[in-house]
Amino acid sequence: MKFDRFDKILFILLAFAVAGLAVYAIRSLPGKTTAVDTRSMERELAAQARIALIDKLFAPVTAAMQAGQYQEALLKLEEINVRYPGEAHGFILKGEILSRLESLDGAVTAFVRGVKLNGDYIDKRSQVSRRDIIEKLLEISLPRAAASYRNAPGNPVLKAALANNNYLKSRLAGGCE
Amino acid sequence: MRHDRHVLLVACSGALLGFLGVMLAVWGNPENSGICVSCFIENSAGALGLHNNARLQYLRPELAGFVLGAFGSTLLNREFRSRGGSAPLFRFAAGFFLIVGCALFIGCPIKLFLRFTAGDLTALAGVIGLLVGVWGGLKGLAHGVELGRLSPAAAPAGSGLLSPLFFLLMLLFVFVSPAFLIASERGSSAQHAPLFLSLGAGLLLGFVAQRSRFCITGTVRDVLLMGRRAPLLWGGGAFLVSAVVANVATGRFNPGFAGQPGSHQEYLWSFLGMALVGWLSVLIGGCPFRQLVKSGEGDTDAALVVAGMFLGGALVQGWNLAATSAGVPTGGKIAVISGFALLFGGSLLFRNRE
Repeated sequence: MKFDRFDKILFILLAFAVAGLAVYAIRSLPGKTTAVDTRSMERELAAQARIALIDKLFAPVTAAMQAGQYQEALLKLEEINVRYPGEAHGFILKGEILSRLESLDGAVTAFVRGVKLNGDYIDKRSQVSRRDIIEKLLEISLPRAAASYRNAPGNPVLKAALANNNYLKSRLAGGCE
Repeated sequence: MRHDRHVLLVACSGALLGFLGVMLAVWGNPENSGICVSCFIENSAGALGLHNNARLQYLRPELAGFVLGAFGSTLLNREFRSRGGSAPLFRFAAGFFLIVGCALFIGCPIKLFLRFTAGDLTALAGVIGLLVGVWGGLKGLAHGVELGRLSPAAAPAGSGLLSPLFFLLMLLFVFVSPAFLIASERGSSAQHAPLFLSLGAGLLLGFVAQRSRFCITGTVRDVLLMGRRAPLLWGGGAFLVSAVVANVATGRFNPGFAGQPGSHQEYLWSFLGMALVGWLSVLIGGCPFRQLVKSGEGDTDAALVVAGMFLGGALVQGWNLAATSAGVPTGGKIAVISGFALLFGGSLLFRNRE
């Protein structure tokens, strides 16, 4: 391959472009670290702010739960859910209350709605994780739901209940989302 | 003798792909997703800020490994050759719909068999879909549907370097994270194998896949065409055996239909998603993994497919087209039907009737 004058000009221009790129890339390195750290901090702040807000919002519900007044907790939860209908935490708390009341299907349905809205509740490392509670619930509810569906395979309600159990099992098992 | 050596190479490629596919999940990647090109592309598109699903953003080093491993192999063996120019826009769209099909099934053809060998029996619908899709693609080829031949003349010398350079840049981003790069701190993208294991596995697999030309849909295609005489059959067999053995040995073999990791039970859509992937893959000459490898060989058409796959990775998340354990969203169903419309319409347009 033979290079003419125009090739040589292009090589020189390319060298300038690469050198300029290198200079700016190196100069931006300290700034880059700051930007990444800032974004991580912003995410962390948003997560912490959410936790603080839901703690405050749902404080009456958790207080009633701790006092063992589950019916009252459910009523308070309904009041809050009217104001914040799409908040996953409400469904998660409902799942916890219904699970303590041994209303297994209701608990599973509530957990499914909560987990679909926010997958953090199933993550091992999340601060709001309810993984252990859901695992314990499924140990009892999944065999029951499977047995009920086997006895009445055409029943759409039982089919939906089994599907909900399987959804939670699949989410607990991990994999790509 | 030369044939035997090639068969051995293909079998080694298959065995490595199956083994590392399981082991990368053991080392930290999501369950049954040790290797999943479509998932990796969705993750990487998110990491580059192309979608905002905060649980699916991580620049997967395996992707750069596949392309650069193949690139290194072609350089070592003096096979690097820029080529392309055959129906580029169709290939770009095909890349997009490859990811749509994979997103409906939740996984690429490699993950399809990784899921299956881990006992996920819901993957059977995808296996049948892939077989039917590849068969459909072969019928299309037999009836004159072809996108045209790759031509070195149509691709200026050096243009094939763009894809390896792009992935070299991605690799640089892995090590020196620029400010715009995003990494999930929760969800499945927060799960990943150690960097050097991921990258090493990717480079090795890219290298051997380039030498052997092994890929999943290619194996299905050759077996349908040649039966037991197909050398890739050995690769497919080795993949299945090594993946099953690795899954059993690591306690990851859990046979069943319900509650499998990253799966749903909408079998029709799993079937259709993989059928679309199989059919498109035959038309464009390889599954998503093979397209990455070919783009590392200097194939600019495959590089366009990869670009389409990145757009697909961004939009299946951005437009909520991807299936989840909860099932397949309506948008995803519409997207896969649109993919078939493109496929059938394209087949009519690209048909050689002489």
